[in-house]
Amino acid sequence: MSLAVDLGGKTILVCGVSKGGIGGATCRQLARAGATIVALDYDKALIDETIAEVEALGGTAHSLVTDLYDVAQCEAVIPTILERFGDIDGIANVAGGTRADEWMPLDETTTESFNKSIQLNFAWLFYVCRDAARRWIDSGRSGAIVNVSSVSSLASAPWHGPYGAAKSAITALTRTMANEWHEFGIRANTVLPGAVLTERVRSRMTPDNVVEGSEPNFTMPEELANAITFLMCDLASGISGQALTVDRSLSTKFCAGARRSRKDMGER
Amino acid sequence: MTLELDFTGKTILVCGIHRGGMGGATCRQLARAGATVVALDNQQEYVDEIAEEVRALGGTCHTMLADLMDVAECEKIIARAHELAGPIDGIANIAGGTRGEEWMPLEELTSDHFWKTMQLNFAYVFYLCRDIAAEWIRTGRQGAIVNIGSVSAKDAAPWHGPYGAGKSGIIALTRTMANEWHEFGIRANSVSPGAVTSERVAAKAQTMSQRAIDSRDSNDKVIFTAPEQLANGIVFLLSDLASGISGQNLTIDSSLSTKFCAGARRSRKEMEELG
Repeated sequence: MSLAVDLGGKTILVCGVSKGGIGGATCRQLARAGATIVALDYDKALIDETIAEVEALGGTAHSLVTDLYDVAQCEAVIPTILERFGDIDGIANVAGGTRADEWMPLDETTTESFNKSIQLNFAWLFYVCRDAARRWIDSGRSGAIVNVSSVSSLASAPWHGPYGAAKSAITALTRTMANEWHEFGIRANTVLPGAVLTERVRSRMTPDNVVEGSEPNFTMPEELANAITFLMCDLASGISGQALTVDRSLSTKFCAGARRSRKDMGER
Repeated sequence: MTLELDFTGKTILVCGIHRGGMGGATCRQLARAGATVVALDNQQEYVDEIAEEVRALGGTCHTMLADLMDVAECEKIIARAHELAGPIDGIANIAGGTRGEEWMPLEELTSDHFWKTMQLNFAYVFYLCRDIAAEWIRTGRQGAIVNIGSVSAKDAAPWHGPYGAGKSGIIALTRTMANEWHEFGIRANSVSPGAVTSERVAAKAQTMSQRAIDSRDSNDKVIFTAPEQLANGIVFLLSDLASGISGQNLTIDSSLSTKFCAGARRSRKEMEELG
């Protein structure tokens, strides 16, 4: 007996597919569940690495190079996919992240840096979701959307405020997508990663304001991918308008005085 | 290629297993995923019915009777479950709900009603989770907990306030469980249903006062979710595919709780019908 996460016969667009991150892991898990992938990123070489992994699993993936900073290119995403690969059944919008040079206090953040953060971590998702939903509504096809937000959207986001605010906006807009598009059979949910051990994070410098010894319990890209893939499949047919944090309990941290674990205290 | 929810070799205790509701659907989905099910409820007929359904699916089902309104009985449940089925790998605390006769404004509600609601919709969940976590920590076994919240815990719960507060308590306590027990490999999450088409919910309408029934604005549209849709979320959170998820509250309500508070909106299909 088995209960399968089954995406056989479905085509899913994944925006942001870097092999060592959440997007790459999502492509692999979607492929394992039987989906055909449209893999979107800004760099052909990066897409090809993930496509090679999907093909090694016996799956199929198409490539679409797009610069998500460029509004015109964002607006071409859905029309291009329809023309080249046909209809899609779901979208995982994973691309985004802080840029190394934006970690600074709010009062030092330039207007240009703010706008870049909002484009990369919020605006492009709206364009892509809007265009996909319009096609689903016009063609009477149902669809599933999973957008990636962040635990930086929950309380404060020190030294990466615009990023946190953009990610909050994703969660809010996704609720409205779920509300407005429910009657057309479209589901929309958000997944909030905590600290994810991606290749990019492994190689990144730690900002100066991080307290030593307060390193988080990391979540693996595959754990995020499993949640995204579940929300995409029909087992999640009742789930829409929700924000699911996948962070190994990181964001349950008590704010008013850090606590030592019992293992740290030598009790266990 | 496949991605499976796989419970082969695992035993899951399900509290509240009526076949027509979320609990029954959870038992059936767990059985389909290969789990051994320990089905607990307060009536022999209920547990016999679900055991038959699980066995018809080729699964294994142990049955237990307990009255969750009785604290002394609650405190024996985990030990009894171990005696019956061996080590437990996960628990789904589904039992709960409003009682028809308690739908009334806060200022009319008796203290007795209040405490009964707290026992059934909050306290028993603590006793069971505490006892099973203590056993997991003692034996070094990993475990997964899924408790049931409610969309009534989200904003107001008019005419069923203590229920909403109890469910809020469950969601809050589940976050602390996740926080305190993370280091021992224990995950804890809650699932919040919206309006569920379960048999017991339908039956409850019969025991509500006419006044309570009349208090509902019949113009307000409610989106319903099926017990099986809840069960799929519960089973996912109990499974290893959810290894990164702990301390969370996942609402499963087909978008019901995204409703805008400041002025109801017609859907575009309704507007078309109006012309």
